[in-house]
Amino acid sequence: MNGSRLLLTVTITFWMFIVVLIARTQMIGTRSITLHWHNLSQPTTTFHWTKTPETRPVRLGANESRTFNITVPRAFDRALLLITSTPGDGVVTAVVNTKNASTLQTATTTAGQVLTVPITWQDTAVATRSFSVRLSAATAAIELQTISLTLVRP
Amino acid sequence: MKRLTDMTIAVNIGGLAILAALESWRPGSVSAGVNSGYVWLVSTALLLLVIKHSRTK
Repeated sequence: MNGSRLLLTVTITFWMFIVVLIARTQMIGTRSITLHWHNLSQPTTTFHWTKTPETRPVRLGANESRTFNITVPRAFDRALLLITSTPGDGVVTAVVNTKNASTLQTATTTAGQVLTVPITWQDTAVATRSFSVRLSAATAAIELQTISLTLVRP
Repeated sequence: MKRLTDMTIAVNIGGLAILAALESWRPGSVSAGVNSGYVWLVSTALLLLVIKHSRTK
């Protein structure tokens, strides 16, 4: 095989790889994307592109809090964060910081109910947008079941 | 040889044009692909020059 033929073959392979990569990330489309947290025991992580969550509950003791940092592609400027916990006496509070001083969102609910936090970004991002969510328990311990993030297309 | 070179350039420019159109339609969705495409296009052009140069020697 001569050099030109080899280069053409490699070029076609490269573009096929790019097409598969774009298709896998689901970035082109009109539907919203829902991401699920793989492993809640990791304190700092990005959301994984998966549709089959692997639930590993995390226990938050009374008056304890935990912060998760989340990074999403910049193609999205709105999201909905859903946090579920096992039923109980506790109260769970989420404080979301989208790095804009004006948009610190807080939501509170009793354990067992779904905590819903709408998130919006106003800043111009280069490649990704990030935010942190601080989950804290009140006077009773709580067990976090799942965290999922639905990214809404502009 | 010339035909293969033209096809390689056409595939690269076509791929990059499609990605650029997608990126302008939905900013941020394929930015990594566009950047990779630019790098690949320049690399391919350089390699084609090397191949051409080695044949004329």
